This record gives sequence, structure tokens and C-alpha cells, in this order.
Amino acid sequence: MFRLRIITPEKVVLDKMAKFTEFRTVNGAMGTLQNRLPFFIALDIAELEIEQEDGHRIFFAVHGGIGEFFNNTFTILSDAAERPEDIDIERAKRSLERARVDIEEVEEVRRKELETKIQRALVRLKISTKKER
Amino acid sequence: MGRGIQLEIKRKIASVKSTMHMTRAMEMVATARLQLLKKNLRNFYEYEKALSSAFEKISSSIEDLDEVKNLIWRKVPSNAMIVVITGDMGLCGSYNDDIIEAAYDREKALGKTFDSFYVIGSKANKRMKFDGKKIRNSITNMYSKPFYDDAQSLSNELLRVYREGQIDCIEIIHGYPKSSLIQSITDEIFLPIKIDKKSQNASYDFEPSAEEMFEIIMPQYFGSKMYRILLESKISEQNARQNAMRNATENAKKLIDDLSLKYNKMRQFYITQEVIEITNSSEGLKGEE
Repeated sequence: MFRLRIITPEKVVLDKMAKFTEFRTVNGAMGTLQNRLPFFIALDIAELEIEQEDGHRIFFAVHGGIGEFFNNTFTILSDAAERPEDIDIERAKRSLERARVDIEEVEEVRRKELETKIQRALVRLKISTKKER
Repeated sequence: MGRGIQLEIKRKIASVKSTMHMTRAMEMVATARLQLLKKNLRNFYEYEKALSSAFEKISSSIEDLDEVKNLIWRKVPSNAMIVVITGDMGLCGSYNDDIIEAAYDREKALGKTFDSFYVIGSKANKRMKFDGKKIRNSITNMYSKPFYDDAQSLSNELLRVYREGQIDCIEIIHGYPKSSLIQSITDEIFLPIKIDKKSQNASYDFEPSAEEMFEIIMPQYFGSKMYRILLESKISEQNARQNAMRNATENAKKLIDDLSLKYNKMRQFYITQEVIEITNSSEGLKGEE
């Protein structure tokens, strides 16, 4: 069991004990249990899966950021972290469509921005359909 | 003296009263906004604390500082840009002017090493344009509460300007809420950063490498720094506005009191005068009988 904290600029989204977390760094998928060696990771825009104390699994859509595991505390600092029920599916769909149209006719500089946008929308949509167990 | 003056006083009271309603409403609006901003800042401190400590740990475990050395304090800067943050709206006492004055003082103190101003807020923009200062860029109309995304893009913009190489120091002058009654002005150096090379006691795993981590965390770190600065200056502005409006309301109240006293005195004077006139004339009529 270790302490898991998810902090965004707006608020502390989550602060509780967890058995296991699975996340995706910019290099690939990773997971951690308790008492791991300290690490720093750079998170991708992806889903985050948490197994709680009672074995119940919950999901978050995490929009980049970093994570630090130290002293049996896992701290995730991200621009945004959303639960499936917080996600506005219609809005995500609209934003995805718009970004896909825009990306066709945009120059190189703004492309990255739109790619991020698409990724965010995709993660949101993916998370919103997940069933929590 | 005629009844005209009495009427005029009455009108004046009405006008002061409506002004008072307005200032009181503005005070309440400022109070409501302040509560929101303060809550925001409280929540945000947690984030900034964690992020700063992570940033320190990552930057101190970088072995090869070559990639990042441009961002690190090495010598006394020779081309400094001053970022001035004021509000877009007035009616907040001397808040905006104090900041502009502080910026001018700083410009004088820097002397030849001063390069240009970067202005946020239309109040400073107007004033500095009028004074003929060198403005590199200006951002206005950020009325509502600052959003994190805005702060992020602003800090990215500042980083871009810094990396162009024309300037080697960015200072930010902004209001700081010392307490709800006292607003001070702080001057902090945004770039370059000072890093203490401390010995690391815990050995961390990095995924990806520390250098890449630094590249990723850097915009986030500066964005959060910017967000804190914007929040603090907004809180300071709303504090100043709340105080100014409270004073204005109180002054209006006093003015109304004075005017009503004057009005009542005058009314009493006319009544007494009329009574005297009536009794005098009735006395006079008695004599004629």
C-alpha cells in the first residue's frame, strides 16, 4: 500500500492509499507497487489506472505532467486529471473533429498543438467508456 | 436665500446616494472575486510546492548542464526586460500607478542594462505609451480570473523571447498581497534561474533521462510560476479595489450625513421664518382693529 496524490493547478484531485497504479510515460507503459525505488517519470497524455485499497479499480485521464515516487508516496503533477464522469463526451467529440479538420491545413508550427489536442480528446473518449470494476 | 438651494441639496443627496450604491456594489463584487481567487491560490500552493521540489531535484541531478546552461544564472545580466503586470480596470486606488512608478524606478536603477518593457494590463499600456517608453509587447484585456492555460502560454512566450537571445534577464514587477489592507510590490527574476547544486541523497530512477525530464518539466515549472504571479497580482488588485470602494462608500455616507444635516437645518430655518412672518403679520393686523 502506498500513498497516491494527484495534484493539478486547480485542486488536489486525489489523495488516498492505493495498491497498484498503471500509467504511461513518454517512453511506454509502466506500473508500480509499494516500496519501489524512488523515480521520476514524464507522463504522456494517457489513461491512469489505480487499484484502490478495496481492490476497486478507478480510471483517470491524465494530460501530461510528471510523477515522483519517493518515500512510498506517489505524487502526480499534471495540468489536468479527469474522472470518466467529469468528461463531456460531446465536447470531446466536437473538439476531436475540429482538430482533425484543422490539422490538414495548418503549418508545421501549430501542428504539435493540434496533435496534443487530438490526443487529449482521444484519451477523454477512451476513458469515458471505461467500466470501473 | 431661496427654496432653490434646498432643492439643490436634495438633488445632491440623491446623486451621492446612487454613487454610494454603485461603490458598495463594486466592493461586494471585489469581495466575491477575492474569495474565489484566494481559494484558487490555496489549492495551487500545494501544486507549486510539489512541482518546485521536483524541479530542484531534477535540475540538481543533471550531470551535463550544457543543454540548459542558457537558462541558468551565470553573470550579471546586461540586457534586462521588465515585465509589468497591472490591471485592466481602474477604481482600485493607487494600485496601478504604484506598480508603474515602481517599474520606472527599476528602469532608472538598471540604467544602461535596461532593454525594454513587456506590458500586461491596459492601464500600464496606456500610461507607458503616453510616456514614450520602449515597449516590446503588450497583452491587455485579461479581465476575468487568470486561467492556467493563459499563464502557460504567457510563460512560453516569455521563454521564446528569452531564447531569441536579445535579452538575458526577465524581471517581473507585480502587486503582492501582503495582507488584505496592505498591498506591496515585488520584483522577481523570472529568468534566468538560480540552481543550487546540492548533493543528492536519494538516487532516483529517471524515465526518460534526467535531461529529457528537464526539458519536459521546464515549461510546466515556468507556467506554474507565471500562474502564481498572475494570481497574486489579481488578488492584490481586488484587495486594493475592495479597500478603495469601501473608503468611497464610507466617504459617501459621511457626505450624505453632512448634506442631510444642512438640508434639515435649512428646512427648519424656513419653517421658523414662516412662523415668525405669520405671527408678525397677525400681530400687525390686531393693531389695525
